[in-house]
Amino acid sequence: MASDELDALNGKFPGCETLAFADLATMMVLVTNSSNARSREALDRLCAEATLTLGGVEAPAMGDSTCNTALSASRDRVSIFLRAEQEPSDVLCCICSPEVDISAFLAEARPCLQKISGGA
Amino acid sequence: MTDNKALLAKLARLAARDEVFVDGGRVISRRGAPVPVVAILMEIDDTVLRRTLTFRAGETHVSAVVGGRRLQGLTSVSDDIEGASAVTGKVLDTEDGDLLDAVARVFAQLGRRDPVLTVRSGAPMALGERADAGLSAEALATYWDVDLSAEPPSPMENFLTNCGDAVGGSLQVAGDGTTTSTGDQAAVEALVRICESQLPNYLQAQTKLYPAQKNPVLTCLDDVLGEHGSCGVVFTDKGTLLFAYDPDRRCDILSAWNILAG
Repeated sequence: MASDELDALNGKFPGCETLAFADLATMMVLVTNSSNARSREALDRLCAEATLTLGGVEAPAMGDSTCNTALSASRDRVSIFLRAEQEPSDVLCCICSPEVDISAFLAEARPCLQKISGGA
Repeated sequence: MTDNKALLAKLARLAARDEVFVDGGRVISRRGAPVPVVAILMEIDDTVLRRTLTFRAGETHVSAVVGGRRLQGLTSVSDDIEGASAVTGKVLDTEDGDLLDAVARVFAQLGRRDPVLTVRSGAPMALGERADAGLSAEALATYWDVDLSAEPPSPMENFLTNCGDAVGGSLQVAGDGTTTSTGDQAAVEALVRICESQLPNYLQAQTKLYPAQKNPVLTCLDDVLGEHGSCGVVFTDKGTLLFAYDPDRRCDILSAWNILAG
């Protein structure tokens, strides 16, 4: 199940407090990790941020090539957005602490997203 | 320090000294101000009696024997610093340029580890025989091409410096609309196009999404610049910085960001 995949990823990276699988076409978060404590409004905002940063496949928010990985960092958190390879509207939205090893996280998060997007 | 400008800068610094301590260490640089290597050289210049100064940034630390306003050598360097073994336990000498360059690289790495750099003074450790061994802070500044009396760079300039060659080109837009660019011209031209055609809408949408956001925000969009790599944007209340970066060096960008935002 998708939530199990997200929980497994969360188990490897406890510093990532929120992991949400979303559909950019409908702008809806479809599933989150079990321990996510964010409200529906906060998740909707996270999904809207994913839409803003990743942009469309043909119309990226900035530049002229498709963006499949984006992040937004403030002083106390890093939000990471990944787009699925086969289904461009499937995205993984994550909120992590600034201490998280982003490279290690991305190496695990990408296959996790592919599994969920592929129907795991 | 003999020239008037440097002397005045030093007097002003001493007069304004408002000491802050973190974990027992005195803070000498915070978020890149002053530039960490300048802060370290100032501490060396302030140390007359022979002492061991331990500079610390987060978990990373460098201990140095200092006396007579001279850096005599490094006695201990934490394992996370590249090239530590090449400099530890060696007395600095003007004839040994490789050692001086290696020490500069050690201090540069230290300065990038954490937004806060502290110093602790302890009993001197043995390093060499001569009391006049090593190099003065002024000589080191000359050798390393460091201006001790320079105005501290802006946070954006600091950020770019800490990003190093992970950034290929940058475009800074100040609040009054003036622009400054650095690096690869083709990358800068791509950033100018973004600045003129896409950035206003992006900023508007982001402000609408997070209207209460007051602190700086870094946004990194991988691969959107095609051959020029990826596009990063830093938003602050003083302006906007756009930069082209290598997505494989994303971690370097984030380390620099943590120093700016921390």
